[in-house]
Amino acid sequence: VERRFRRRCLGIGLAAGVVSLIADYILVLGNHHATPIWGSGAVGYWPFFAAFWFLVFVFGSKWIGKVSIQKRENYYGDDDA
Amino acid sequence: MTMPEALSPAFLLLFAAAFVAVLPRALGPTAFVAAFLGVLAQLTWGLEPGTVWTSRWLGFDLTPLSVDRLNRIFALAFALVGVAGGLYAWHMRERCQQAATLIYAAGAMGVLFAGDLMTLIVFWELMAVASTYLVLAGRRPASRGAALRYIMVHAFGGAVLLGGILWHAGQTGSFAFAAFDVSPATVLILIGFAINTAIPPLHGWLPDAYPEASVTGMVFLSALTTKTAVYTLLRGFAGWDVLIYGGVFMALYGVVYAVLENDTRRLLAYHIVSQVGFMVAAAGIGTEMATSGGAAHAFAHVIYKGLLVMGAGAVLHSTGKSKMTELGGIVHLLPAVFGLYMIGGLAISGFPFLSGYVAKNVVIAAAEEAGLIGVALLLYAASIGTFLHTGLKLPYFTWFGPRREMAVSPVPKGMYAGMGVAAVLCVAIGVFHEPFYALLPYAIEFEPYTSYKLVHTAEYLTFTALAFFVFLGPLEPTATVSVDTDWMYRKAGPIAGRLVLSPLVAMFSAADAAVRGLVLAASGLASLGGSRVEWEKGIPIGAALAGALIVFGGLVILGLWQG
Repeated sequence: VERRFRRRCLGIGLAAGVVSLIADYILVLGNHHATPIWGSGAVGYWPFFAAFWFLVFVFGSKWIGKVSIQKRENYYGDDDA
Repeated sequence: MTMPEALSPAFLLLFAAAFVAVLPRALGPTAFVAAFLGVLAQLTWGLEPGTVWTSRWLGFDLTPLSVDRLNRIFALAFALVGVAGGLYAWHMRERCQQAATLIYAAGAMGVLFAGDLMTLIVFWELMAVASTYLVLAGRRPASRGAALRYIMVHAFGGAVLLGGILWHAGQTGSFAFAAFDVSPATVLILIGFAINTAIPPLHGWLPDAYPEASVTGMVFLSALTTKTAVYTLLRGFAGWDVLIYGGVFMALYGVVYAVLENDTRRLLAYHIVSQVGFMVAAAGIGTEMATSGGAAHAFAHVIYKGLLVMGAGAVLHSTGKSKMTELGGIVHLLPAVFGLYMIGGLAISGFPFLSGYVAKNVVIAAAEEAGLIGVALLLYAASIGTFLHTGLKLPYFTWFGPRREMAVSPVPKGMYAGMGVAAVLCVAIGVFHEPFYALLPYAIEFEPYTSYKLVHTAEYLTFTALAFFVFLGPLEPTATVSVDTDWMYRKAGPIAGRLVLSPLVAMFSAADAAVRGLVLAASGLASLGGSRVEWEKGIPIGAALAGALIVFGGLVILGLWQG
């Protein structure tokens, strides 16, 4: 059930992603980009930005957690979370 | 002393607290909600910007009430979350907790409307004491320790703040609470405010204490303390550059810890740190648009964070569990809680037509307008992190994920009502953004619903969600805790204390024993002479020794200084 749910979410996400990219392309054609952020006028800038920071957060946090900050649950004593 | 034009809402809430404490238990929830409705009415019809009440007390010029558009919007948010929180806690019959919550809210209102620093510190401390009770009211083994650490940190913060206020008043001759210039005294005041704002590394108390509070208490804790402190930064420290960097660091710091967190309520606590970072950065930018953005974001945050905490609290109330490793597959058992939580989760992630979208984007636009492009980009990055852990990770591993068998008790109707009110507000603010913007401290020219903003928001949220379902494995929660700066006083402090104090205690014990022996010997000799000295029972030896050591030490220092 969980795998099926995950596959369905992936499908919906892919469809929404494609639609948003097409909308982005139409905006670029219509020259509707107005932002001071360098490079953000390119199609696919924000998907790339999201994917980059997603990976930084997930793998960066996991690495920091593994090498230093994650400890066993009763680290502060049995009655402390 | 002038006659008050109007009374601060703090006094209405204090009166309600006294009333709730003596009312029959069954009437407590009604009185609680009525108190916040009364404050809402007072804010709507009774407290126009410009209302001031001044008074002279013990030679000090005090302003217990000074209303303007900045404190009014914060007070409005607190009153709304008070109504929603009161409905959510309708089933709760603990008079002490109800009274403590009202006193806590009174403290927050008192700080908001304080026109001088003396009034502010009094209400600031009232907040600290009353909110400690809400942590204690969690009544879990960990709650007592967390409450003790919480009050100690806030007592320290209050002492620093008081020191700064007195120093500042000594320098300027004024207790007025307005924008501060840079000086050692105002830096102390800033540190005092920063502790309550939970700016790292001064934030350890927040994820330590909030998750141990009662289910209903955490709703108010998440709304009041940090946002009151944000208000003080917006009023007193707008334009201080250090806050821009502190705010951005907060926004990212909270995300990193939230990604690692297993406990749903602690994850939401880290998320407060992250979101308050946006508001602190807005205070640092300091322009009119940034101040309005900070206030807008604080307003929206009070509501949607209240909703998220209510959702996680409803799960805890129903299942007795708050750790994602022990939850999962309960969406068919608590579907309405999931639906209401997701409105908060999507609002906080900045989904269009919800409150977070129209509020958070003002702060980012203010950073862009001020030419702080790097700051704007990092705040966008923090938004992605917000969606990742609050909009995806927490709901997926709580309501979906591997199904675990567990007994579920029904969620009280009042809880649904409280969450419903907060959810409606999230949608209403997102859809009717113009009346919302009209409440802000300064008029802003900002249109959130442009085609570009809608498309790029859709893009980064969609691709974050896609990445989440591709990389589910690494995001799976683990049964661990994450060590944070509270480690300093939970682990390192006691060890350092033992290392330093043990030799000192041993030394003084030995000295005490030696002096005691000498005194006994002397008294024995004296009794031989017929005049027994009753030192042993009349004079505390430790005190005599300490006094002698102080005198001796003073003489040595005096000698060295003279030499």
